[in-house]
Amino acid sequence: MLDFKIKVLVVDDFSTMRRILKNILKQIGYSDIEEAEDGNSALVRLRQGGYGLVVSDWNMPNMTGLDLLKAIRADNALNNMPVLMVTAEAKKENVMDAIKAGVNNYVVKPFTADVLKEKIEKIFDSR
Amino acid sequence: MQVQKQFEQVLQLVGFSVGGEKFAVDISDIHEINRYEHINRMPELPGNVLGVIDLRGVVIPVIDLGSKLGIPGGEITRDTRIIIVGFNEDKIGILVDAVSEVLRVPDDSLENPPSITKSISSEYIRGIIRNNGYITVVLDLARLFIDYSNDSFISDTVQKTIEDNCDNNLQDNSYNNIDEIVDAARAMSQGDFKHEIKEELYGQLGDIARYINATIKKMQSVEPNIAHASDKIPQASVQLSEISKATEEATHNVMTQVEKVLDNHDLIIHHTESAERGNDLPNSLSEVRNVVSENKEILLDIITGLSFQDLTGQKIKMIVGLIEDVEKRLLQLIVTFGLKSKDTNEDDNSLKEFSDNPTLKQDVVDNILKEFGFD
Repeated sequence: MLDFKIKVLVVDDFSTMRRILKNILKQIGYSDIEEAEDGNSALVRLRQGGYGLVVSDWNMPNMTGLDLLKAIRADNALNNMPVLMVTAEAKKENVMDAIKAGVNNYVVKPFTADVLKEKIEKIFDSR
Repeated sequence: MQVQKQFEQVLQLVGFSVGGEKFAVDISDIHEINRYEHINRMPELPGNVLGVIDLRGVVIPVIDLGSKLGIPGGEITRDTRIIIVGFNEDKIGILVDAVSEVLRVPDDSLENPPSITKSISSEYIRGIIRNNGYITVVLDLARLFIDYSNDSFISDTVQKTIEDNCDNNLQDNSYNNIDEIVDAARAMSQGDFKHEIKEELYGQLGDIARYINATIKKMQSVEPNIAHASDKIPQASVQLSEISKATEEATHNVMTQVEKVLDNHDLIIHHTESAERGNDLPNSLSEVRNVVSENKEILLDIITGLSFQDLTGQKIKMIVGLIEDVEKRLLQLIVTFGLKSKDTNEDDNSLKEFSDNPTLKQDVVDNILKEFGFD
């Protein structure tokens, strides 16, 4: 069972994609959702604390999703944070890089609400 | 406590099994994990080397980890995997019974193996991890790998296989054909297009054509025709960023409307439930009716809002026209260089390959995730 009380951070440089993700997350059941437009601002927010899930794009200016993931895993206060990568980057080496950096699951754009939900459930099932 | 935490490092390991025993290796040593495929046996290989596989054109030896470690491995099943590991340029495949999961454990949970295990193959053991009563043996692949990369015998054997393959298949044998290509290219550049060209040379000619094509692109600045066409490119980029802005705005507009429809749906559910309970039935029904007719208006607004596609579509068409212009001029230059018909086919193929290859669909990504035990 998913815990809908957690705060979710949606990271994407496209405002439309952030909004789409927010809407789908709301339909899944989450209500406490915040946004960041790149890895840098995501990290600032995450360090303020209180988040329970990060849903991040890969390809963003300033700091990519992969670098954000690495920064999260290297931060003692954050290194257990579940991170779901939602990205159009789907080459085998991309997926491998994300796995090596410690991603919890991986959704390829374009995606459906069902796939997103399934992947989030898998993240929390395996914990 | 703070200080202690700072030094805490996390190990990321990939767990797998051989002969019912649990092992793990550092994830950073792994290039990829593949399903079992046919292993080509070869004569006179050292005991633990099963043979070689062809990994996208690279011949890689596969070792039987079970026999290497003195533990008989299981039979080949659907779960059998070949883990591709490597350091620098060299790669080897390791046959394992199954890959189970990605383990994230604190560095200090890695214990020294008990001294009794020192009898067999202990030089490959980095340590052990205890987890829920199970013991996972963490292998040191670097040491295991040195055995093979230092073994010149195996690289000679592999090299010989490559050469044999090349002899069987002329198209792979680039080196011996270079003289013939040069002859053919020289004849063509002198206008002799009928110069006899062996079928197998076309592949290499395609490569040359692609190389020339790339060079021509770099020559844009000195070639006036191309320069003329590329003058229009800044214009195209302005148009493109306008399109990007317009689609963003339009998408937000549509989404605002859709969000309203979604909220209205919640209202409908609320009123219907209260109607079901029999509370003020006429009022509930008329509320539902109001909301439904409001939704209908919103939906029509969405349809009108989608007309942005017409405006952006026109702009995109214009940019496509510009690109086609540049492409045509480039093609003319390739023809001037004397490489025709077959070469442009080769180019088309490479483009097709390019557009087919880069992205995998979610299910393919899921398969990769599964190989690492994400399930």
